[in-house]
Amino acid sequence: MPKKLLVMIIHPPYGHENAFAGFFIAMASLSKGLDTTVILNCGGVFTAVKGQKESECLLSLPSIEKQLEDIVELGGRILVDDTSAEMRGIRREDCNPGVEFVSAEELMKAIKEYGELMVTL
Amino acid sequence: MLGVEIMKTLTILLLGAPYSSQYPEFAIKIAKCALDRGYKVNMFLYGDGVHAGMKNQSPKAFYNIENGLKEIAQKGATILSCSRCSAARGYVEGEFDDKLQRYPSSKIIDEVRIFSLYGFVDFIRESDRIITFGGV
Amino acid sequence: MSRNILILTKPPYGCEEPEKAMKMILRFMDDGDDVAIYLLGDGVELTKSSQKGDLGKLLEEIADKGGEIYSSDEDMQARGLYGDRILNCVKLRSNIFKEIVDDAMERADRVLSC
Repeated sequence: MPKKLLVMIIHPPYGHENAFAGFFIAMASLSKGLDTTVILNCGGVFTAVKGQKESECLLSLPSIEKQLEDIVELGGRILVDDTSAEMRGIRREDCNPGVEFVSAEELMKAIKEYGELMVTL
Repeated sequence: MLGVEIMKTLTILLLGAPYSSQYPEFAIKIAKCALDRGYKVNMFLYGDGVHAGMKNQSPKAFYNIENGLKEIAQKGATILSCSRCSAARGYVEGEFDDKLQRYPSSKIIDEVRIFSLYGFVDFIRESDRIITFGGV
Repeated sequence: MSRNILILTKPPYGCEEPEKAMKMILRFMDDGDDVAIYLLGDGVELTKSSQKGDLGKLLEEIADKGGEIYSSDEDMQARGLYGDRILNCVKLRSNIFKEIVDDAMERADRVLSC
């Protein structure tokens, strides 16, 4: 059985590198065959917003949206804390369809199941 | 095999730079306790954590992080530093050295090896627990 | 039943993470788990008595339900937190790193960081 890794991202993208850093870990881990789950919690929920425009004249930062899609494609699960999202006005329709909105209770169960090895950024 | 205990492994992920926060000190102190208890310890410097490996640190009043890292390395900890984060911050000075298994840097202490993120994934695979310190 | 430990280094009220982490700890307890919170660095501010904000009460609720609350004595002394300035439910630890290592490696099933 492959080892499980849980990556909890609590920072929004672009303002700090943490969200990118967390996604890089998730992708590297998935590509090496680990069962990887990403939790977007607190400000990290902004990472799930779809339609993030990548452009040279904007921030000169690559879009994190493509990375999110890659993670889903590689078999990683991306869970969005619905309380954090609601507080920030982020609705399911604002987000990439590949992510799953979960309740606090479901988040707790996910941490119990996948959180033997966990990183937080 | 009777009497052979499999050593448990702790990996520490350090995201914080020295002196601006207490995180590198916490990471080193946890590492020391774990090594003294006989565990295997890995440390991965990530994001601003890569600054922890800089040579010639000379804090006037704070705990010297450079010395702390040297001490845990001497006790057996394996310390890797993310190559992408290190390159971004100006530490990487050449191509990957296959023989030494590191990217070269005259600015980083020898006890810290600049290596790709896959090094962290290898740490994860052999770990029983991971503790994260830092990250704003 | 499993054991979850939280290493809390962020100060309360400055951001939402400590509150969310503590509420998650309560959920683990409601699910039948054991929990321990290790307060380190600025996280020791949570031990302050007389808080008008809710987090002191939340910490006491966790302790009342059987959660273990440990705090770094060194960090507390540095911040002038001792005596009647602190909540009774907190257990002071002079070598908290050793305790965290023992717990994380030998007893806990999960280690959360905040």
